[in-house]
Amino acid sequence: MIPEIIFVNKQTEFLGWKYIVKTLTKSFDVVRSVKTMSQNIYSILLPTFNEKDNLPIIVWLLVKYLDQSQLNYEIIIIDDASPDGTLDVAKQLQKIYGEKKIVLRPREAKLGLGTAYIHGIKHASGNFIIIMDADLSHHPKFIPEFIELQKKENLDIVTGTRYLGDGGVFGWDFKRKLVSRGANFLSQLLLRPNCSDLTGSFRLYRKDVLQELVSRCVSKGYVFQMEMIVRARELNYTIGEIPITFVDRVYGQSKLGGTEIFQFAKNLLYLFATT
Amino acid sequence: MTKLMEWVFVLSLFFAAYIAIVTKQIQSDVFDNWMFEVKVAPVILVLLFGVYAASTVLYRVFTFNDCPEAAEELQRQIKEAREDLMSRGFRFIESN
Repeated sequence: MIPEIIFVNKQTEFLGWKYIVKTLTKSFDVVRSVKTMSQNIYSILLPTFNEKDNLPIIVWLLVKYLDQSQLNYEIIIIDDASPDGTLDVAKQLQKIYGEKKIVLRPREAKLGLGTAYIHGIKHASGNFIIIMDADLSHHPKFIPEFIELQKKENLDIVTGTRYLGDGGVFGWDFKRKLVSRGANFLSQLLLRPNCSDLTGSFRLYRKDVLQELVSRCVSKGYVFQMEMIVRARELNYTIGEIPITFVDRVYGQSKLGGTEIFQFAKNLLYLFATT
Repeated sequence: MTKLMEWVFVLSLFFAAYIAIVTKQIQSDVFDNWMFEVKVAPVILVLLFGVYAASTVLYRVFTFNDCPEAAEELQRQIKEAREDLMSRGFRFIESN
């Protein structure tokens, strides 16, 4: 294969075609990149369970910021049969914003985060997928920053981080911060993942990259996010980071108990031993 | 190589050298003169690492941004969103 390339190069140089060929390829590349830039579609996956108060606000904010940046997007709401009427709320939002922007993909029962992503990807028409929590802890104002960084560095994944730059968390006491920082230190030490926020769940993925990662991940719950980034490192995907502010649940309960910490430790050791 | 194997590899190299020196398989005046320090080296290293880990984590806890402005902005926007949505005919389901 290599000698062939050398041969072709020599040919074109000899005929004086090299310059013309180069210019033509270059201008073709420019045309193609401009075309794909304007054709990018972003599918935002919102898995919900009992989020009737938060869902209308998060959708309103998404529409506000994404329209402002003139992006092509769709919001895919995956409700796991919430008993509080989240699906009715979603239907009302669909009436207001239209079926192109708001896509409903409800499921029959509470089936977990990993399968929610698979379910969402299957119905997503975008070439990029954004995952975030629907509980208002992730602010949509950061999404245009994610997209800009992705384009600039042609990245596979952009993840929000609470631990760098202007990033941070509102509503955490000393104990919660200590657990978070301690867990982060330990996982950085053991896994060296090229990413400062392993358990963050505010991320932008190329669609095929997310598909590949989800199919490889075995863990459940929020440790799933950690596994995704570790697998991404394994597969040599490129990862960028944007500092985000995380505002802990305004409505409803935030959860961090003994079981979460145990789950985290178990998965950390599992990934340490297997990746 | 998994991360676990990397750790096992580096640690076993370290302990192989350590045991060789302590059991005098490797002869040197330097090791003879500093035998006590060499013997306690692993304990010292573990303690130093502990101090490093604790101070790093505590420093990061105290410099963790609280971002009260982000929470205020969100509260303002929640109000704005509710008003705008209601003006478009959205009905909030009141709870409790």
